[in-house]
Amino acid sequence: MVPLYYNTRSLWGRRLSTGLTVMGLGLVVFVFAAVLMLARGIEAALSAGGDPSNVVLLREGTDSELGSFMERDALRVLSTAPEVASSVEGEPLAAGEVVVLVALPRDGGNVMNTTARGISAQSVAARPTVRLVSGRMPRPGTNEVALGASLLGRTPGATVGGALRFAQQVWPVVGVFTAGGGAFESELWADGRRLGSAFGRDGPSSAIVRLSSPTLVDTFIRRVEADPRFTLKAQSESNYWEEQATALATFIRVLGLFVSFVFSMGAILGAMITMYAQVASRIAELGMLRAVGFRRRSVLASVMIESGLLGVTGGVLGALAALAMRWVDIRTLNFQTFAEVSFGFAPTPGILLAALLFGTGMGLLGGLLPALRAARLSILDALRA
Amino acid sequence: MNYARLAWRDLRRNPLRLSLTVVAGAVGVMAFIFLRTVVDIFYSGAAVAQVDRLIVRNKVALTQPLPLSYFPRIAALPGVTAITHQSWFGGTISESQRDFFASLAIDPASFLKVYSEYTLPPEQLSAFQADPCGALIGRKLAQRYGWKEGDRVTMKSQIYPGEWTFNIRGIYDGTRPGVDTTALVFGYRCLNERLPENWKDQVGLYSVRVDDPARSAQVAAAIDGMFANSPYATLTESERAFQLGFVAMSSAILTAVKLVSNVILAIILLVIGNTIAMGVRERTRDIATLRAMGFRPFHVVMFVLVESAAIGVAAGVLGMFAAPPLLKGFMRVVESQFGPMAETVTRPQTLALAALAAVGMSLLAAVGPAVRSLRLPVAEGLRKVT
Amino acid sequence: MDAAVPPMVRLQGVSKVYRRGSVEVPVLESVDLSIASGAFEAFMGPSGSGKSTLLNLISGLDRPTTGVVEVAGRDLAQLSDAELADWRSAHVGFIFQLYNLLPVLTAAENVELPLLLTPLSRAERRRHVAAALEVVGLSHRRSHRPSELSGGEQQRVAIARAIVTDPDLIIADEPTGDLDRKSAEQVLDLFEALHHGLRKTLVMVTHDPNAAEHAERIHHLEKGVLQ
Repeated sequence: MVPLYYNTRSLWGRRLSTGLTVMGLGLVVFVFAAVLMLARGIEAALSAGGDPSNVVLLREGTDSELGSFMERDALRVLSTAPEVASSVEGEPLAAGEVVVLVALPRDGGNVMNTTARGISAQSVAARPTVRLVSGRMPRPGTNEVALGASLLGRTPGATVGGALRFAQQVWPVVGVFTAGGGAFESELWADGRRLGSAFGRDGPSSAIVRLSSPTLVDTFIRRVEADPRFTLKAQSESNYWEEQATALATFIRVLGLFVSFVFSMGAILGAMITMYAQVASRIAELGMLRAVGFRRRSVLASVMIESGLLGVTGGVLGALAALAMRWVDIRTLNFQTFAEVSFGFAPTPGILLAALLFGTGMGLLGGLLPALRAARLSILDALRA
Repeated sequence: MNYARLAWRDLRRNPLRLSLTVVAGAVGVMAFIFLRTVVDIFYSGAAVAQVDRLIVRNKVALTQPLPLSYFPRIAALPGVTAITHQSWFGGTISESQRDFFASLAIDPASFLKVYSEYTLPPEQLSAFQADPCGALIGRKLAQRYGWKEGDRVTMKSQIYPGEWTFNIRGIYDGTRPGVDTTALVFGYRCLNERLPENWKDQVGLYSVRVDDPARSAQVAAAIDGMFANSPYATLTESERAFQLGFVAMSSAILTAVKLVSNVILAIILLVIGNTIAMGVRERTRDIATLRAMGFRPFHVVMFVLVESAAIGVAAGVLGMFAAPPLLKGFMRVVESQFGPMAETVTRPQTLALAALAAVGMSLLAAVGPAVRSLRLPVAEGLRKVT
Repeated sequence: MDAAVPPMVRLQGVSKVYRRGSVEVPVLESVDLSIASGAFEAFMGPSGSGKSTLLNLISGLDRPTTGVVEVAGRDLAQLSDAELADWRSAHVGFIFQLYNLLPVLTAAENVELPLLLTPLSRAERRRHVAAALEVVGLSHRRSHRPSELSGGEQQRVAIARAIVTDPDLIIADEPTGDLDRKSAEQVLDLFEALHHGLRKTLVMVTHDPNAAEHAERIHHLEKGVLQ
């Protein structure tokens, strides 16, 4: 085997070429990893809202709370089901909610479509991830609102003590809450009846029901679907939020992977250029290696290893740069719901591993042809060069 | 023999490297064009928006309805030449996301008066207007599902309960490229008659045509003023502003895409820069010889720049030709996931920008090697064995 | 012309010191030298004796640390780098050990190269190239690339390139160092022809005593000092 330091030193010997190539490979890996992290981030942000013990009830035929409505009677009947958990006061943890879209002004004259959730008595108790970080939750019968943490400062008045204006009414902000990074953090919560009447809704859009155990979810869903009195769709809350994310996440993945693929072609060619030059400038050395007894396949392996090194270095740099993106927050429209969501880049070990493999793979592919050329050199020609 | 010839000969010194570099550059240009066009797709709604069209919607949110009774009141305002309404139906023909396409309830009598970019044979139009549950579909949608006149389509709505069946009465085309022909529209009456009492006579939004685009701001103010104190206050803006409002909400994604398209420029820069640097390095002695003979540093820099620019031009041209097939391939992938999309057209400006970027990047890539070539010590370079 | 004709090359108290890091390495030490117009002179000496440095100074590729270098009556120190480049293109022809032909150009194109810096028309340039190739006896190889020529032929192309602008001074750095006996003789014969026939001033650095024999005068350099 040709020793590895032979490769590292010759790469170092042509630092400029090596550096340019590694940077090219690194940029491609960066895009690749960043896109996967972004898609993962969207899914994470939306699915973090889901609690495995909770069931969302929607009108049959709709996919989103915004397009749903249901009768109060249905909720009353279903909340007596044996699977439903109870609050400390003994009330069933079931809450009808009004969900509407509100256009709030944003700096620069644009509007931001925000989900407003009209909550009822058990809404907060049914969602253990929701935590107040300041102030309090809105009192029933008032126009008070609480903001998801990612709305803070996004629109005029979006701070505790401030007030929002929409639907020709004033809505004082009394609290800020987090929800484990989930989609609720992009929502504003108000009293369900007040919000409903401001938007001409006389009943809830959807309902959230907390069961005493995640294992009961299937039983409860079957109960809802089997009952001919309701035309309702029941879904675990986790499922519901995951589905809200699919279109946006898929779009980003499709676009990103496609682009990474195209970019990788460019980077592979770049690696190939560099490795051809490495081989060309070392023909005499390679001839010498062969002359002293190294096999063709050792030379082949040596060139491949060198080019793999380029790829690994690019992969590491690209993955590190992508990791740095976790400090960047992104806000965009979820075109499934027309509401804006806030999310970040979510690195996972799988994505980092994929990025490293991707970089290494590009390096190896780029080195393949130059390595074959190096291995095919005849000893005599090489020595004469 | 002249300078250009010398540069050309030098370029061909290493044909393999030259072609690899040009192809890599072309891949980059192609990706750049592709990404910019993807951004344009987001803006395509705004790009085809008519200057003389206003969109009237509920001030509270897009999803809140407006009463049908506004129709005659807006129509009577001075400056308004035509008005129509539409309501988002959110219809689906299957559970799959791939089968999703836009469906709207419209007013058959007035729709084409406001949306004149859609066209269909007159007999199809009258058949559509005569059938209360008649529907029109766009050409692209028709092609996707093989639907034709007389077919029946059954849909579920994400908003309205029950199953709905429409009779396809015609297929519309766009009068110019870029017009979306992937939607299904049907008569509003069909929807309204089946709705419960408290949902009746409400529409999603109004589209208004004004006689003079210069006065559209006044007309918009008149409309909003008329309904300011009613429970259904309106927000009226130009169609373009309305479309851009959607785009603005996706701006983070668009910024990311634009950013990535700049990353590709950086990759082009690196690949071409590498090649040019190698060329200069290998020609140390040639350059020293030229300098000894009396060529100025300026000449040497020109050689390097010309070579690099030639690579940039070649890559740009090749990339411009390769981009449309790439875009088509991508749209096929997207449509397989998301259903039919509006026609995508790469703008000439995008092509020009890409070509310019390729040449610009190649020149930028040459700066380092050119400076290096200037700094070569002539006397030592002359005796260098390469 | 009288006896006051200035020499082609005049060096007075020329020293050259290179810096390697913090160490100063003297390469030439107060060299005084005069080469008459039309002379053919050779410099010999072991590696590192400063021969090449001396040649670089005479041809205006390098500047002395101290002392004056005058060529054809001009003090080279007075010229800027750019003026020096113009001056070289008009007055100096170069011949190198490794020929330094551009591998991508044909013999004729290599010879034409220095003419690109002159205001000559295309047709005139072609005439000059033909004449120069004629002198070195390679008219029939005009369209060949350097890689298709033998070492001797390549060096003769380089000679044609050196004389095509009709320079006063021809500088040859180990012109036969890479050639076999026979090719070397051919090149040296050409030098003699240039010297006697065209009255060119030739300055040659060489290791090879046989080559040096062809010159009118042989200087020996030892550790930067002219013997």
